[in-house]
Amino acid sequence: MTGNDGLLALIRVLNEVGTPYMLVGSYSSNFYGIPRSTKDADLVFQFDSCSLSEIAKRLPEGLSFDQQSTFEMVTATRKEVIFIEGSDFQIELFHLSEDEFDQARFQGREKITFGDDITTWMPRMEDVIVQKLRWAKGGARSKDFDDVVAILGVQEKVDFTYIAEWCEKHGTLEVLAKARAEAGV
Amino acid sequence: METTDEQIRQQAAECHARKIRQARSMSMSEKFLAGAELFEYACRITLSGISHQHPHWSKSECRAELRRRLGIRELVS
Repeated sequence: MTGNDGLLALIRVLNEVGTPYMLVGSYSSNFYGIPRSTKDADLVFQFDSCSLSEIAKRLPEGLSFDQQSTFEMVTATRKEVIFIEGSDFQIELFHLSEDEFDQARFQGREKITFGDDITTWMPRMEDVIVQKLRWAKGGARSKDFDDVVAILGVQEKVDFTYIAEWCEKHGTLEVLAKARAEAGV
Repeated sequence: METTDEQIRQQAAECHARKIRQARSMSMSEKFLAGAELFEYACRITLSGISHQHPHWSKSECRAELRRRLGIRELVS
């Protein structure tokens, strides 16, 4: 099973179960910017132990939950990992945090339908930029900065007023200015 | 003839502009699927490099080395 086969199978299960979720990380920046290689798909969930066990029960053969729930240091949230048989690609499921922006990003997520029958949920493009700038702050993760520059280059209409409001709260206005300068927008 | 800094900057800008044009021309499906496809392509090349470096290793030993390089934990079930 390929990484995408595994991810699409999980998305189908999530849509069936009706668990609120969204695809974040490099899948969202690839969607709005310039696609790059990624070793995992990150999803944010609003779920309880019931929906988690329901999802586990419905996973098709070839997908399995790591029984060891872990704590993600960068985002300071709990996460579950799904392994895909025959692939080194992984799926990481993050629990929705209480963080003000995390909550707003989740509330504002959009339903996306493409291909023959793929329906999923993504954050708004501006929210992807805000989150990636947060990670890129202080030069911590250069790939996130590059992702922002790529999105700014590809997208023609960006709500900079909205982005700047969050950046002010997060102390990332300087990184935003640097990204805009690099993207020439 | 030596390449000047200005020429390098110009080539980098042209390359970036090409990437943007390419991204804009991709379908939603292509953009969605690209990340994992590129990763798995890179894994295949790396695996073949590992196998070339260590001709006596089995497939599973090569795969274990790839996972070590990627920093992937083994499944706990």
